[in-house]
Amino acid sequence: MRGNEFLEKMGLIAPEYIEEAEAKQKRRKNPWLKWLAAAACICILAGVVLSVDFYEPPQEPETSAPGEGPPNFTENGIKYFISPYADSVYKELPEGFVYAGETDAGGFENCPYYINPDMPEWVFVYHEVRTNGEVDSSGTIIPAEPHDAYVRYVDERLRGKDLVCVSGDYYISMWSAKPYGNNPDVSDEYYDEMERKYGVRIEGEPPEGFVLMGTTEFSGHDTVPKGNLVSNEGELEVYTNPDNPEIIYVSTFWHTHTAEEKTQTKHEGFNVYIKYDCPFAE
Amino acid sequence: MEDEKIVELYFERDEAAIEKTSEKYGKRLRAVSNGIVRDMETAEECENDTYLEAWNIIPPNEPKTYLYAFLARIIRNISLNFCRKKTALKRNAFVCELSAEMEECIPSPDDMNCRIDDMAFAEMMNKFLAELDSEKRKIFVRRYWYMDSVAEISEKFSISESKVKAVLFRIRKKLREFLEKEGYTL
Repeated sequence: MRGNEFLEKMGLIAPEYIEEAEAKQKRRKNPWLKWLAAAACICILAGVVLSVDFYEPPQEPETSAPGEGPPNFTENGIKYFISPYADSVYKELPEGFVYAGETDAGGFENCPYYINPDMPEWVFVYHEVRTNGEVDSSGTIIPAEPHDAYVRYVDERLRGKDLVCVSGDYYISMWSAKPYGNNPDVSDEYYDEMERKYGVRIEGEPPEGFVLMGTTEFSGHDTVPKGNLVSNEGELEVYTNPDNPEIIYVSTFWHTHTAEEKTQTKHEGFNVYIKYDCPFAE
Repeated sequence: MEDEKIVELYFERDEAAIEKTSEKYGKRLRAVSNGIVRDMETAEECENDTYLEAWNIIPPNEPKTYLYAFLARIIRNISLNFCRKKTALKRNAFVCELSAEMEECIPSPDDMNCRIDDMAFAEMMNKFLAELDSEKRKIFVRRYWYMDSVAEISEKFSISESKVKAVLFRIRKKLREFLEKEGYTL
């Protein structure tokens, strides 16, 4: 074997080592900052001692370790993951969010983060990014020089969930519902039952009794849709059946190109959304 | 969408699989490729080839629990081949440099085809990597998997370039000793 083959075969190493090395390294702290911080602590110590009886220390945010998936951190027991959408990068801090402390996120230490009591599902973290949040006509994120920006982190119970609110009732797509893990969206039994009864997606016409209710209003990515017919996924055609409130159908289409099919085939049908207890419902 | 669901789409031969893969991992895959080929257009080409390859090999492969690593491995190979084929690409020289460094680890390099199969190679390397401490392992993987330059590793880990070179040299030496001791014939 020669070196080039060895280099090629390095591609075979275990997935965890690939992901471990991909995670951004933590910035090493400047030792001067540590001393300055210590000096500052001494100066404010008296004030702290006086107020300590009335002071409840904030919960220390836990942060993501390499290989743990997308950048995330835990604040007050809630895990926030970086938004998967390009429009989550902001030059200016959105209105209503206020400084809440510092955390480690995205491989960076001591990043300021900002919360909004009226919007607990989002937290903004100020750290380095390599995009301005713009996408080209094909939807590809346009890279930019590394710079600091406010980045949206989303409660793990909301991130990536396709939700539709129909007259205050919440429905989640079978594609995005998670029936396992620490914070399942629905129970395993319920998911299995719904899958058995309705499937995840159907092709063809809506089942009997389901009629077009209307087109949803788009509430925005990573948001909790609220109102009569609102979705955080986009403008969708929703079919409902008053006699069967446990599901709704949302029109969709997809393409297949199997070995048997000579050309690409377009399919039209419906995604199944099941009723669930939205943790963000008012 | 969860990886498991995306892999199911591949099994159903549903083209949404590629769309969902691209949505979830496109950016990271492009970054891996761009790190190797250093040309965004080429990286995008490699990304598209990766989806095609994934489409062709899932099934029979079923990477439900390691989809990203599975795709990353594909794009690495495609990007590496791209560097080798396109000799005009400056990165070709860099790949040669890395190959020469890797050769230092082989007890008796020769021009014969590889004598160790892929599974045994992976097992051997994983055993070796497991013995390294986390930071050294990451440096080694950054250099020989992601193909970072010494300067890039130095910046990423906030250590001097000379230290990066020294760490890599020691790991290569250790790997060579490991291979000799374990009796691997490469």
